[in-house]
Amino acid sequence: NLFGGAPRFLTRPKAFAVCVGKDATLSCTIVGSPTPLITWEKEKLKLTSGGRFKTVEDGDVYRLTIYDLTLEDSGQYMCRAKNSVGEAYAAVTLKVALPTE
Amino acid sequence: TKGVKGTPPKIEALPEEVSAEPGKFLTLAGSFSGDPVPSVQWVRSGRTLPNGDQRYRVENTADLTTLMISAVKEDDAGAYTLKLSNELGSDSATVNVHIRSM
Repeated sequence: NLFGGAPRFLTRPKAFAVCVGKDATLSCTIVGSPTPLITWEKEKLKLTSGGRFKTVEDGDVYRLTIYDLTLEDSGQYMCRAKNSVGEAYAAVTLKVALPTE
Repeated sequence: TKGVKGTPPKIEALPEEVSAEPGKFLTLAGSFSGDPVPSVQWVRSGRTLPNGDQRYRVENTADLTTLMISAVKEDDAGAYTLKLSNELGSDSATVNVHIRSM
């Protein structure tokens, strides 16, 4: 295997639910050996659980949930997976819209 | 005459700044759209990768391109530009790769 145990994305980050006031979950599947450490960033700021953000790890699936979306939550989110063999990066663009009446 | 159908290429998401450690693997994924499926090029210093360097590898699907660099070296640092084009247009974006000193 070319990669050894380097982290790789089996599914890239995708965004679900993008209306102001709703919650959005960015989700991706990442494998690697040893199990990679996953971090989420927006505009170079690391996002950790707490307040409106929650990070969840469920086997190979990693999720970032943003609660009570505002228009300012729009933008590019980056997911970084790192272990002792290497690191992998992928991004997702979130567009938060006003609800349509 | 036949009308032009489809959509121009668009880079949907690509990390802007990434970092890697010397000797390790680095993988960068960029998602895109476009119809017909755009042609994909990763360019560094005017050269299309992998450019004969076996440490570089590019894998593409219909909406995702992945650049992989194995055994990262200090002089891999710099700007990597993703270029897409199809008959309706083109799009490009750049990733800055930093190499962390050990």
